Amino acid sequence: MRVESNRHGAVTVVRPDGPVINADDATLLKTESFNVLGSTLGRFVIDASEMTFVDSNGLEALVDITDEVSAGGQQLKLCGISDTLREIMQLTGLTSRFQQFEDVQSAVRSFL
Amino acid sequence: MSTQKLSPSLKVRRYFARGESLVAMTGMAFIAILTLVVGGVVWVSARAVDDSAAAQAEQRVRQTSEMIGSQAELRLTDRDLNGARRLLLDSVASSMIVSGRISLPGRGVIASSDPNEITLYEFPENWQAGTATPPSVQYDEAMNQALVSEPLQINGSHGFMLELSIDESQRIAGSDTIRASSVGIVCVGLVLTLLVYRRFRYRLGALAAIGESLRQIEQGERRTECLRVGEQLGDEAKSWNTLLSERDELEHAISENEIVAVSVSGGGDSFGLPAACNTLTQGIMLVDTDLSVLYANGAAAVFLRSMRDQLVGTNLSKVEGFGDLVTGVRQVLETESSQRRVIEIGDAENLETNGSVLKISVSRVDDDGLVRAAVLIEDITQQRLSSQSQNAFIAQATHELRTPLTTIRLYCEEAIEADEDTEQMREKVLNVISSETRRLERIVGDMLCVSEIEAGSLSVRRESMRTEQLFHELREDYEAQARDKSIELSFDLPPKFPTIQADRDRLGQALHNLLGNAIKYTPSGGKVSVSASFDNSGAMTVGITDTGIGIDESQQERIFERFTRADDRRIAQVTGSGLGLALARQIARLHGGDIKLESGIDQGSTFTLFVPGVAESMQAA
Repeated sequence: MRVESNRHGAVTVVRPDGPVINADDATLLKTESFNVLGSTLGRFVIDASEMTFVDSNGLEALVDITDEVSAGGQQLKLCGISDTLREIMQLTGLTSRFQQFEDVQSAVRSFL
Repeated sequence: MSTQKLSPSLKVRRYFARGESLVAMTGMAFIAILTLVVGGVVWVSARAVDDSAAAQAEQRVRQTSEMIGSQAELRLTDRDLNGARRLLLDSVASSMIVSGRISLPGRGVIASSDPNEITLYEFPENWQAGTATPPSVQYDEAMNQALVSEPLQINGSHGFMLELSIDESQRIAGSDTIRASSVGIVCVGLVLTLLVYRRFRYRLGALAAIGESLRQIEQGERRTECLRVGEQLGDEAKSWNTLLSERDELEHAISENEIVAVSVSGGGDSFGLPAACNTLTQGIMLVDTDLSVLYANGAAAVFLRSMRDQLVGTNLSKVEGFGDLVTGVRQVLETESSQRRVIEIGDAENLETNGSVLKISVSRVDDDGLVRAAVLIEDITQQRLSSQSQNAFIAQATHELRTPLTTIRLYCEEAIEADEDTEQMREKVLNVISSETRRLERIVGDMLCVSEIEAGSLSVRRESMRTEQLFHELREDYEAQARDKSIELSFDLPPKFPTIQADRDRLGQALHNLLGNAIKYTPSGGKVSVSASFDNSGAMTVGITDTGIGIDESQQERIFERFTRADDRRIAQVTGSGLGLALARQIARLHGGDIKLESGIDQGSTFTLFVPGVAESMQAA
C-alpha cells in the first residue's frame, strides 16, 4: 500500500491507495498522517475512498491519529468511507471519534 | 457512621470481617484455656506425686517401726532395758523419728526417747498378755507426724506396745509446693492473659474502628465527622483523626486556591472550562506580564508547534518563530489601552504550497491591577486561500461577462453606425448578439448555480428529455467556436437517441461546461470529440476527449473544486471562472452519476459524464 498526500488549497489530503491490512500499512498511514499533521497545523483529511478495509492495526492507527488531532481541538476528518469501513466503525463504537464526509470537496470545505 | 439498617447476614459478615476483634478474643480465650489446662495437669500431677509420696512414706514408716520393733523385742527378750532405751534414743537422734516409747498398757512406760516419760524402771516379771493386734499408723495432720503403734512380742507373749512419732513434714511440704506452684502459675497466667487481652483489645479496637472507617470510605462516605474514630482507642485512632483533619485542611486549601484561580482567570481552572477550551479549534492563551504562559489550550500548543505541557510556564519569547506575537503581547501589556491588537503571522506568499496564516488577537486583561494578556489564535489559511480564489473568480467572471457584452455593444454600434442597412448585415449582428447573449446566460447561470450550491439548494428536476436535442444544441453552439480556433470537433453519436429522465437544463449546462473547457484548453489544430452511448436502462455516458494541454495527476481532483483552476502557467492567459467543472460534477452527482477524468500533461484529457437512469422509450432520431 502507498500513501499519497495532495494539497487542496490549504488542506492536505492523505490518501491510502488500498486497504490497511497489516502493521506495516498502519505504521505507514500513521507516520504520513503525523508528518502532515505537524506541517499543516491539523488541516488535513484522510481520503478513505480506496481504503476499503482496515484491520485492527489500521483501526488503531486511525484512533491514534484522531487522538493526536484531538489535542489541537479538532477531529480527524475522513471522506469517501466504504460501507465496510463504516460498519467496522459502528461495531467498534468509534464512529463518533471521526468526522465523516461524502467526498474530498466537502471535507476540504469544512475547514472554511 | 451510617445508621442504615443492615440485614442479619450482612451483620454477621461484617462482624466476622472485623478480624482484629475476633483474633483478639479467640487468641486470648485460647491462651486462657491453655493456661487452665496446664494448671490442671500440674495439679493432677502433684496429686499423683502426693499419693505416691504418701504410699512411700507409709511403707517407710512401717519398715522403720518394724525394724525398731524387732530390735526392741530382742532387747526386751534379753531384759536389756537400757539397750531398749538406748535404741529409742539412737533412733530419735539418727532418723526422722520425733519420739518413741515402749509401754506396757496399764503398767506404764518402760522405755522412751524422753527419759522423763519413763514410769516403769524395772522389767516386770509378768504382765498380762494381750491379743496380737496388727500395727496401726495414724497421721496427725496438725503436727505433720505419723503415729505408729507396733505391738511387741516378748517371750512369745504380747502386751508391750512400741509407739513412734515419725516426722512427715517433708512429704506434705513437697506436694503443697507443687500445688501452690500450679495454682500460682494458673493465676499468674490468667492474670497475664487478661492483661494482654485488655491491651490487645484496646489496641485492636482502634484498628477495627479505622478498618470500619475505611470500609465506609469504600462505600462512598466522605464526611469527616462520619469517618472519625474515638480518640480513647489510642495513638492509632488519634493519628487517623489527624489524617482526616489534614485531609479537610488540604481540601479547604484546594478549594480556596480554586476560588482564587477562578477569580484571577475568570474561571479558567474550574467548571470544566479547560476541557471545554481544549475542544476549541481556536488557540487560547493567557500570558503574564513577564511573558510566561499561564494557560494554553491544545489548539494554541499546536499552532505554536509546542507540547501543551511544556508551553504552560514557558516564557513566550523562547518560542521560536513567533517574534511578532511576542512583540504584540509585550506592547499590549505595556500599553494601558484596552484596544485589541490583531496580528497576522504566516507565509502568505506560499499558501498553495505549504504556508499557513495565523490570525492572532491579543487583548489586555486588567483585573484589579492584575494585568495579563489574552491571546486568541485562529488558523485562517483556508479562509485566506478561499478569499484569494473568490477574488480571482470575481476578476475572471468580470472578464467573462465583459467579453460578450463588449462584443454585443460593438455589433450594436456597428449596426447603428452602418451606412447600409442590409438584410445580411442585420442577420449577422443578430446572430452574434444571440450567441453572445446565450454565452452571457450560461455565465450568469453558472454563478446562480454556485450561489445555490453555497446555499445547499441546488437540485435537479428529473423529467423526460430528448437527448437528441441536447447534442444538437451542443454542436450548434460550439461548431463555430471550434472552427474559429481551427479545432476539429467531431461527434460520435448513436443512430438512435432515447428519452431519458433528467434535468435537461442542468445536464445541458454540465455538457456545455465540459465541451467549452475542451475547446478552450485545446490549442489550434487540435481535436475534440464528443461520444455518447446509452444502455437499455436509459443510462447515458458522454465522453469528451481533447488533445489539449492535459492535466497533471496531482491536480486532477483539485480542479473539481469551486473557484479552483489547475496550477499550470500555460492557462494563465485563458480566462475561466473556476466554476465549470465543479458545477458539472455537482450536477452529475445530483443525477446519481459522476464525472471521471483521465488525463496527463500534454496527453489530452477525457472527461466522462455518466448519468444513470431508466429509458422510457427508444425513439428514432
